[in-house]
Amino acid sequence: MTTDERAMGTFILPLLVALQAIPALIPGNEDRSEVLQGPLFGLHVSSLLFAYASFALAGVIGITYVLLFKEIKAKHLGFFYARLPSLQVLDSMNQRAIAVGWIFLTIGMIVGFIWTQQVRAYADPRVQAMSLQDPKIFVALVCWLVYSFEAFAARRLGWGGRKTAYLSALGFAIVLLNFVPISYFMTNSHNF
Amino acid sequence: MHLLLVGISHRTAPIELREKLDFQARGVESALRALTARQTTREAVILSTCNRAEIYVVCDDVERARQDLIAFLGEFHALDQATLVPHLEGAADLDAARHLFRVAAGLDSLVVGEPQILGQVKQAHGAAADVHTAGPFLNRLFHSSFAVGKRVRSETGLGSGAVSVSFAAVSLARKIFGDLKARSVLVIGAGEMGKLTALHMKSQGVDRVTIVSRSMAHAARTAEAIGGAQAASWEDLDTLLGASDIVITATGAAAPILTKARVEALMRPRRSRPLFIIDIALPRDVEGAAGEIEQVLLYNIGDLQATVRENLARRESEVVSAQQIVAEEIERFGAWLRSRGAIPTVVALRQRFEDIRRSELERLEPKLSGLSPEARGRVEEVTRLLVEKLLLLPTEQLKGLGDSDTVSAYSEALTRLFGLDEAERQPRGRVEQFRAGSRRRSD
Repeated sequence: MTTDERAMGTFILPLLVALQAIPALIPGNEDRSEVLQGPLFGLHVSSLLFAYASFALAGVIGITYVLLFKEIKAKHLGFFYARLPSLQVLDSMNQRAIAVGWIFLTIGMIVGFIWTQQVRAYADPRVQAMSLQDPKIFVALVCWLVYSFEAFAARRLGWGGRKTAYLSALGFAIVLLNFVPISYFMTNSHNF
Repeated sequence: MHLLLVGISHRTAPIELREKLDFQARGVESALRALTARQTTREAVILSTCNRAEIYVVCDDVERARQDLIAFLGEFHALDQATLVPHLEGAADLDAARHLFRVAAGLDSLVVGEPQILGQVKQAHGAAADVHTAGPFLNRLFHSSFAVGKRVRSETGLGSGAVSVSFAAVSLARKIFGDLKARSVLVIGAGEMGKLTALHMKSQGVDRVTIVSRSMAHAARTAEAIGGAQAASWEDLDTLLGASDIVITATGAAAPILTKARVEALMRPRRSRPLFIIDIALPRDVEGAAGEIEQVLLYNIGDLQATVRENLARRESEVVSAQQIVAEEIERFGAWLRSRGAIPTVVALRQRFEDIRRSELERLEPKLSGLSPEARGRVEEVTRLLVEKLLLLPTEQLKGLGDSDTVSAYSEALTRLFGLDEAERQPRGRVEQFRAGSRRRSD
């Protein structure tokens, strides 16, 4: 399974720093409401975090793939040519990250659905409001469709290389959309 | 003791002379034995590659050794000294060390930064170690040169980037496909260029190499000459193109064989599998416009030459930092060399102190005989430690001295103060005298 590829560290580190910075800079909410007790909620959140982390990785790899491809195609071998692993390795890393992310996203969404069914009894309006109109859920579904298509295209249509690389970047842009603007600005999403 | 270098290189001698001075043919070991049999040198290493033949020796008399090395070169290779001498270059001591460090770093190579030279330097030292002509001096020198080579390779970009067209092609293929083993390579054209490129691909670990030519017999002959390659007929070209990852075109055709339309047609069933086309033919075999197709990566001979030129320019810019490393390591080697200058004095001084200690213990023998073996052991140890402690700081100071003038001044002073030269000449006599004197005093 391993590609034994260390050169990617330079490109992934900024991503990790950014992800670390978000919780560090934003004060946390210590008291969890009663609705959020129970193992299902924990599973829901942690699998989605794993999924989004994988997609972030795939997004970075996808972007570097495109940049390296452009350098080789343009016959201008420079910065990325000297530092990145081969296109082939980037491609397989991308597809692996997508596969792992897709599995966690699917688990997270199924668990989330079961959990909402269980907590319907609570009067909390945020629980009641959860439906497909909830932008967070809607965007997650869009993500799932994009990544399902990417995984399908890679296996059945023989897509690879640049096309899947672009799709990974696009998918992660949607994930980011879910994280930043929706979570902070759109009050009708489920924030706890 | 001095380090001396005599030799020729691509800078000083034409290839015809370098060929004549090649030690590889008759074996470096036998040359080393023949050289040490002349007894003008203490240690010797011979570095013989296709671009240089250099002898590094340790000797006592530089001028005598230099003359003898020149005579040896002439006799061993049956060459007239007059033809040899104008092309020889030589250096002594730190200059010779600096030369070796530059060689090991790849700074003195025909292609700056080429990677083979470090291995060749290691081999040269290994051969000398095998026949015991490399002693402590040259061992230290060569190990320092390996360190220089390694540092230059890891800390500078001097060796990075392909500097020949065929290596540029292979490193590009690696950047696209990763491991080349499972890739299939199609060579179009069975001429000399096609054959060379196919051979190169084979040597880089590609398993499936197919050669196609307008004449099936020609393709088969070339495939056989390469060994392990397959020949295919011209009619199957489109099928073969569809199945290949890397295509090398090297035909003598006047008009392009692969037009944009033809490549486009064969790319459709490949979907997103990239195709790397290397066009090393002149005039070109592949239409330049074919490179515009989405998954086609097209490089012609001019493009490859351009990347080679870029890499060479990049290496040039790394020369300064490589020279910096050489300078640092020369500084370190020089310090070691200077500390060696103090060694005879240090040894003599220690011997002197030890002699005094022993003679004093012998003198006290009658008084000590009453002690238990344990207590006697303690006396032995205390005196030994005392001498060690007394000598520790002076020894370190002496080894750490800056330049050889200071070293010889200090050595001179120590020799006088402690009578080291006399002790060397007749150690026992001095000790007896010393004992007699002290006994007289105690009487």
